[in-house]
Amino acid sequence: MVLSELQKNQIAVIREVTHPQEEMQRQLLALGFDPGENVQLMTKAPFGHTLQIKVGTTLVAMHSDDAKYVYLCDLL
Amino acid sequence: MTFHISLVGNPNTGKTTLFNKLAGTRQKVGNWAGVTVDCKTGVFIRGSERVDMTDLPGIYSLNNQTGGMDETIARRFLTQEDYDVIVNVVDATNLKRNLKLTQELVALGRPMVIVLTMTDLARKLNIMPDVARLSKNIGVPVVDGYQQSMSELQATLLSLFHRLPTALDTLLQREASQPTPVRDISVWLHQVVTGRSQAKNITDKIDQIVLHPWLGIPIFLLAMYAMFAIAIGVGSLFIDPIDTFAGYWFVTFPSYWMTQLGVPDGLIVVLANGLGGGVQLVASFIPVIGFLYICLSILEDSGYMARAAFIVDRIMSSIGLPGQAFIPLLLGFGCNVPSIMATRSLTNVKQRMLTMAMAPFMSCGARLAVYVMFVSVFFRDKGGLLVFGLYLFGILVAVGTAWIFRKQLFRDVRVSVLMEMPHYHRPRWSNVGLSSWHKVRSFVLRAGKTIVLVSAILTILNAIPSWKASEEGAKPSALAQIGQMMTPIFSPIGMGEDNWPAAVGVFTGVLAKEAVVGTMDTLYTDMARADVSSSSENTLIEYESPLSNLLGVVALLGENLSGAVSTFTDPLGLTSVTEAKNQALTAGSYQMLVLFDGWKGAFSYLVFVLLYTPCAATIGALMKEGGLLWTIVIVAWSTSVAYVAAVFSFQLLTFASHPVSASLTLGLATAWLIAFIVALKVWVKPKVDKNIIAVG
Repeated sequence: MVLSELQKNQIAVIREVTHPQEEMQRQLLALGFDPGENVQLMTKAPFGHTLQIKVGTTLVAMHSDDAKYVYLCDLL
Repeated sequence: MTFHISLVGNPNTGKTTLFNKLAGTRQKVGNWAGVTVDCKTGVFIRGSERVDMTDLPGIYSLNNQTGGMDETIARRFLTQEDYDVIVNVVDATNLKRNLKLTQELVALGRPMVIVLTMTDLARKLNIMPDVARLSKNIGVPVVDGYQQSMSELQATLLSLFHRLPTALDTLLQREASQPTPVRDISVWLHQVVTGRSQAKNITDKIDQIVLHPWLGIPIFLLAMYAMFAIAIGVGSLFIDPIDTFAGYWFVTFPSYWMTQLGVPDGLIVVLANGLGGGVQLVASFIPVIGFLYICLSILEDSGYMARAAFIVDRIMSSIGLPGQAFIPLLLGFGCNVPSIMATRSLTNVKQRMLTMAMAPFMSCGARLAVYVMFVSVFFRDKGGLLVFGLYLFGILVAVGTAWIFRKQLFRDVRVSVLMEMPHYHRPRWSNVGLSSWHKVRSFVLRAGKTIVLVSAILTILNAIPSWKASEEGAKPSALAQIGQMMTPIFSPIGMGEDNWPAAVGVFTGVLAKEAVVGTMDTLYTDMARADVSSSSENTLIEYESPLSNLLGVVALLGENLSGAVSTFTDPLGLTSVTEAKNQALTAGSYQMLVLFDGWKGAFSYLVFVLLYTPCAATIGALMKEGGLLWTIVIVAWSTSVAYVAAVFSFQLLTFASHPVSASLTLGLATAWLIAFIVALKVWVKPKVDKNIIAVG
């Protein structure tokens, strides 16, 4: 399962992050997208394309195109 | 003893708040060598001891090679510059992520102190770290920066600095022993945070409302409206008083006394009307820009700015821009100058340049004055529709510009958004005040130079007499004479040879778009009176005493403030369009009606005025924010688009009467635009990367 598939308010654990763009990969890691970290989909922006994600205690806005490179452990 | 410390930390950690707390007003903003990224330095003094501080840009990591200017600057400073202590600012509510940067800093092997911020929030959330334990685990002193007063914090930091080994000591020590590898964050965090975080915090609660699928957009619109009403509406109440005040002290007063002292007329024109007039123009922009910066700082500091960008992200990404670009463009409807300045909120340089290219097409308040004048003469019945159409047309051209520029210049720009949304908190007035002050000051100093120069040149041209003798039908000034020479260029947009005041209006409009109104009004009225030789009338200045000027300024301010209510209901001033219908036609208006030869020419002229080159003040702002090359590109592009659009409008409206010449003209205009678009790729693209400007 990937982050862009997460339902609203669902919490999951990151398995790995493999963004094809090196710059984005670095930024994701710097913002705290680490394996083992909790992620939660807080809300979607109007028209759905942009997501508000809580990773650890950080709130992050990102496009669902980028969120699909964040792989999640199976939900409990 | 003197210490030089550098403040390093993640964005949104309260680093600026800490810096302001320590330095107070003893700070200044300069530039990092070679780039236009702001470099903030400050100082605090306790007794005989002095601490110099450098506030580095907020960064997540030192190792982001591609992360832009901020990372590069921070890395260069930390590894190459001379400083004594790193003060790492760490957000206590987000330890795990913040400590990633701390790891990189510890690896640098410099003396270091950690200051925790947001500890009030951390306590509220029940995740306050054990400060002593954290300090022991990392091996670096840790201070709670929130609890202590300014003076206590200064004292604590100083005593810590004294106990730290000096940079030289650490270096020698490292030479002697093998450097111990930096331990893992999980080791650092061992038994540091014992509390369990509460499930819902206040930020999540606010976001539930502010980012609500239905409520989100109305709240966003309301916030934007409030900002617009305050920045443009309230700000413009102060324009007239400041304009009168500055006009008196920089133009009237010096020119009166220079005349008394027998200074030659030419010099007076250059100094008082030219340079003084330029300073007056810069001063008149200060209120709007000041209020705008205050509003922007409040939005930024409270944490709402990131939410606003989130809400409109989808709409903006369809034209290749991130959500943040919405705010500068919206502000453009008030005034293009703050609009250009507000592009600073965009961190991606290319997206920022695109936004700058779009902004001048947003029809500003000054242009509305021109529309109103034309509506009162030519379009009495359909004024509202016409004005609305022009605004819409401006937006369409802006979107088209973004599309073309992106295709030709920034093909590789990917719209990706990865932005931290900070916790909400009450805006701190010291942060808002200091940041607005720094920005207004830098506008006056940097953009002011260009504005003064351009306005001085135009004013001088307007004041000196024509080089032709009056028997040859000379015009009242050199500028008017140039206008006369230019009329053939404007004939494809329907400007007759006798309609030279309209051409002069195009020139003075560069000074400030509303100057088109003043120029045309004066010149047409003069023509109607068939009294062309009244040039001396303009330079004649009525002297008043400083006191009477001051009283006038205060009266004007009171008058404007008493009418403040209407600015909240109509910040764009659109009611003036309906009022225009009822104005009586003056002699000048009849002259205008005759010379424009019908509404078709007038409409095309309006299209031209809407789109053509940004005004002197906007050019100044562009120079400051975008550099010379980008300013030239934008000025040339907007003028070309304006001309071609006006030609299309006039030729198509009059197509039936001369189909052959109209087709030819349209073909030529199209060819010019295509040539320009090709030149963008061939000529501008290779240069643009080298001339790229950094983020402030």
